[in-house]
Amino acid sequence: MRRADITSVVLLLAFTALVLFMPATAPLFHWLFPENPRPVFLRASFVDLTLAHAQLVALSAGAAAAFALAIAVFVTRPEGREFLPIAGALAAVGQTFPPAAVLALAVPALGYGEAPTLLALFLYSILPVLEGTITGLNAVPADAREAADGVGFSPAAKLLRIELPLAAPYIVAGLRTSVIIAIGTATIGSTIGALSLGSPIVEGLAAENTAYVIQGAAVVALFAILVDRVFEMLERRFTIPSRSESPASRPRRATAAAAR
Amino acid sequence: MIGFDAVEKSYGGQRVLGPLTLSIPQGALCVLVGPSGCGKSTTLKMINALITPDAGTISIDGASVQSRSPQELRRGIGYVIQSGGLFPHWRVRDNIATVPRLLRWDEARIAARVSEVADIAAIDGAFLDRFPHQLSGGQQQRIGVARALAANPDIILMDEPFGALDPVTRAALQQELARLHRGTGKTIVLVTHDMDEALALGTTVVVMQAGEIVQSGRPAEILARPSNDFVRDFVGGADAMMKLLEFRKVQDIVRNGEQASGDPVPPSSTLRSALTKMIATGRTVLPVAEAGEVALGTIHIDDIVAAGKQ
Repeated sequence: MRRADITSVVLLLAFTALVLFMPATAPLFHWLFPENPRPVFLRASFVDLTLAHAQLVALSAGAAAAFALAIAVFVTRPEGREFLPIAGALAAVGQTFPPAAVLALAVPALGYGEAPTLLALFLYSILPVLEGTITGLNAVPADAREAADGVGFSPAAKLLRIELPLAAPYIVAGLRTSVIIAIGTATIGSTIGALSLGSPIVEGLAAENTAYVIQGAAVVALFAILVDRVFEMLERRFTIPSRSESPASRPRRATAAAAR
Repeated sequence: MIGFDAVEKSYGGQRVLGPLTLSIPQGALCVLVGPSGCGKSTTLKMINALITPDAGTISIDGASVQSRSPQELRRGIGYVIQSGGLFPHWRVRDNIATVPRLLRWDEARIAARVSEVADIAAIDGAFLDRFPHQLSGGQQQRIGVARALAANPDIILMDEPFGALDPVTRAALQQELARLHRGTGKTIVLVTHDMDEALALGTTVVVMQAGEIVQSGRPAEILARPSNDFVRDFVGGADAMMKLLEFRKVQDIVRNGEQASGDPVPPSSTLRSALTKMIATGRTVLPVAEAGEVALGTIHIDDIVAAGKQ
């Protein structure tokens, strides 16, 4: 087993243990913060918090990825090329909006809770996937594209069988960035009432209960690192073996990370 | 037969091609040759409708290419581009199988055909399960040729197929292409900017300049009678005489029945190699004979000089 795999297993065990058995850490936090009458966050179980958090991220990042993919494909087709600069600019604007501002603006329209959080995360997750997909599609070798036309692929078949597979490492790299950002940003949703791993952090900050903040932050951090590792594996899966290696083995480094 | 009838193409109001009329007979190896921007690639890409003309018609066996579905048309025409244009994420085997898969052949037939064309293009069977970037440029171009042959098209288009290769590999692949052309009788249209390649490979050479055909004919005709100064310079000026000697055989100017001493030259060898042998051996007359047989006659340096001037 490679060292990276062992690290992943250890991280996964730590994450699972914390999520399932957080109340069991009470003696530790009691020892760290003897003055604190409630050393462990108990308003909701960490299993529920993690599931709610994952759901927020999956829904918003999933929708954003589908949206970004469609836009990126459109603006790299001959019919849509003129919209390429506009798409890039709009996505960048979405990214420069502070998430707190999006929440503040969305609350009057959508109310408190999950809806404005999903909107903010959605807007935030578009740019990395859009950029990754456009970069990836533009990086498809011109001769492969010309050959695909020349041997008789239809435009749709060329996209699905040649262009998107060749762009896949870049798309996955964009998805990775967008999901990691969403995992971190989703915590802010708890300021407007969405249940997430941000709930202990926000309540801990409000009630000056550092133990809650540490508990929420530790689980979010482990969650983000684990998901990042899953994406790293995916990127490797989609990268074509490099010249020096035999076809049976896969390259060990993700060249697509250079796309960012 | 491929026919161009008064074909024109402009980009941004600037005419880059035509009006061009050309017919390429079945079984020809027609080489379109000329400097960059002369319209040779544009001409080639009109045959498989990658570029559509502004005016005129292009036909294959009498049927206009513009009236057919471009995808269907292209699946019936082999296409080879510079540096192979292989799909980097597919193994060599799948690259070769591209067009049969598009045509929905069954997998058993595809597998049989892949090994068949791998043989024809002299591809080592061990390469079939590799990825393109694990192979050299020459090997990649063999695979490009195999992919073009896979669905057994009657016509193969080649756009600067050997332009990115080193001279040794290029010469080897040129010879194999000539062999493949003789062996299959396919119609091949090849684009190059290298006049030597055009003369060595073509059964018909079409010299283009500024979007127009300046001369077309057999290589020896173009060498012997260039139609203008551009063609004369392009075929190598005075050096063209030497090249022309490569297209003429000793048997054409042998003086039958005469005797001479020295190392004999075979009747099927070129005048150029006979001349080289004369210079090397310091003789002006050599016997003509098949290896190990009785001499047919002699070849004289005066006759070679006369033949070169024709």
